[in-house]
Amino acid sequence: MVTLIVKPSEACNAACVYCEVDRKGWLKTKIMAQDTLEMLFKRIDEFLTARPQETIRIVWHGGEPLLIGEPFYRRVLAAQRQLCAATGRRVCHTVQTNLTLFSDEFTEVFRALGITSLGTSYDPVAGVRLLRGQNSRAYDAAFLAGSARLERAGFDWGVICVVTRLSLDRPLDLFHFLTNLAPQGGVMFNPILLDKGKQPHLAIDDKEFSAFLGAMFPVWWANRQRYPRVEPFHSLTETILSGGRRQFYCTDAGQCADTHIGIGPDGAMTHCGRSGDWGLLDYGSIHDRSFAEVFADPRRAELRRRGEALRAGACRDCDTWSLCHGGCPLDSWDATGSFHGKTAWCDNRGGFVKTYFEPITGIRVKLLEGA
Amino acid sequence: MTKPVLICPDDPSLLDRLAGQSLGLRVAPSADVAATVEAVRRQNGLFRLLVEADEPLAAVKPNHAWRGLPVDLMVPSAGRFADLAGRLDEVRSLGITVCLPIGGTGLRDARTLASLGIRTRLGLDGMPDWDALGDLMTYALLELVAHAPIEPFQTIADHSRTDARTTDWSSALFDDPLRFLHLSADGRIALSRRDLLNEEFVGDLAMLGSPALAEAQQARSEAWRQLFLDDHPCARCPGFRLCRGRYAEGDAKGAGMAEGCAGFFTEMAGVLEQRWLRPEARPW
Repeated sequence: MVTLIVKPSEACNAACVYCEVDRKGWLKTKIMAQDTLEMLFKRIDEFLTARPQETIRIVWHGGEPLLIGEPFYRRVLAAQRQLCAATGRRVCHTVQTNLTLFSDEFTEVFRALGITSLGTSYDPVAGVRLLRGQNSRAYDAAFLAGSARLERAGFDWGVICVVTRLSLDRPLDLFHFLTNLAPQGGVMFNPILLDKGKQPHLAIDDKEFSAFLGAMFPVWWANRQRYPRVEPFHSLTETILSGGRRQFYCTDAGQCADTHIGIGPDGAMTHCGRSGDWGLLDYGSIHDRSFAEVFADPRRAELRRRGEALRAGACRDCDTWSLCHGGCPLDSWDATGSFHGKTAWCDNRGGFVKTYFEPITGIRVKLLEGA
Repeated sequence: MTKPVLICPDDPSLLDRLAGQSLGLRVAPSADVAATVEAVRRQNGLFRLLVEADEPLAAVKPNHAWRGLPVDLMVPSAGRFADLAGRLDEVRSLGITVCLPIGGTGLRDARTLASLGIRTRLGLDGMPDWDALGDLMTYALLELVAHAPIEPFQTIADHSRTDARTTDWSSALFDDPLRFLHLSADGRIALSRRDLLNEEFVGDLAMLGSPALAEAQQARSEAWRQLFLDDHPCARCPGFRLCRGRYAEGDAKGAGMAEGCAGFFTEMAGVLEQRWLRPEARPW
């Protein structure tokens, strides 16, 4: 499956303290134009027609993708029906939203797009997520009202919690808070990702994040039937128990050269959502290049050689290689200008497994060599 | 929204104004149930009869008109077993549910009656002895020797198995504001039994079916979200999925989250998981 991270606008109604969108001043209310939207679906149709077994997942991202309103998604639906008449059934949609603007108007069109669950983001720590010009309580109130409307409309939802220095001393509080709040849709803990040296009062390193996860892991492991979808624990455990054969996240799968493209509101293509935020890896405009051309870009070829380079170098002796495949290549690109280094979040996988997973579960991790 | 059941007193002037509604009728043990039920069924649906007695179960003379009707007999206690023993077959044969308070001898009585095959329901308002309630809950959910269901534990067990969401068992106590409304004799509407007793009303019969009442019901049903907005300790409690903040207000002195409720509901989560295991897979 190919994943398109599409940002129909980079404007946002929130001003979260760590957000790149806010700090880089991308606050202009630019909405994806109709010709760009139509070109997106022409490219999708062209790509899927040439690959009858392939599917595409569109992640509507931002900025805040609900800020542009429900009419935009009606145009999405119309464009897909018109331009992907034969291939549209191989396209699925998800939305990653802060949920503060979710209203009943979105319900019908989201259902028509086949959306059954929305991805959200929330942080119980005060002062981290803010609505523009207001405080975090206003964000929290709008988020909770949005989640109530979402549930009444019959959608599931999951939540991402970005772990900052402000959350490090509350791992179990956050674990229970979020699993209580979103018990069905899943909870994911991600470390905060910042440009080097920026916002040191929020920044954490891989060992701190690993320790944060390690404080929660015994509770999750002992009660994993009760909390089935807490990440990264669920996927990590599944990956380990399957001998490394299952797909993990994009940051760990080592396959993003062949699976991800980011697309901005003006049709500019980049590697993924994160590279778009960081201004990395410009693949040109969707008006000029097809997805096939992007996947054939020489920088993608370099990405494909990354695994081989790491196995011969920095990750040579690592016996948890197939849990992370060296991590997100953008970490390396951002630090060194090369894809061939390992992530700075190394301890988040291998270190976590050795320090917490193995002693707590009693499962000795032996993964497939070279998986 | 589904039309709610109206829990109301057996008051002819009130019942005349409730045509077409599903009713839970609060009646005295001595009430002429047959006539009342016949009158109600002519223009209403009968959800249950809630027979409110001031005397212990042992002192209440069973009414044979209750036979075949859904009856909850609310009593302050079971009373002396010696007085009750001779009536057990009669009580059982009527198929009634005996409702007991959590104070006094209520927990002990519930266990005794359940072991004798009589269905019971505990009113879990107020602050119980959490340790004693934990013992009863474990008995109700795990005891392999045959016994009658004890509510609300049975409802919690049934609902907690069917999905992974929080378990709303307020309907087992007729306290789910989306499913039940409580009426005073003069037709004022409360969203819970407790609100009725505290005379906290949201409106009167003219409100039935109105968007304003639906909004009030929805808001009460989702009030637990306020605990997350306030970062209340309940929001971070391992037992929240089973209690949904029911004891967030603490005791009458306003002491905050009740001592012991967190431990009780956390233990219950573990007990429920044991219950889901096949008996042969249980560790005892």
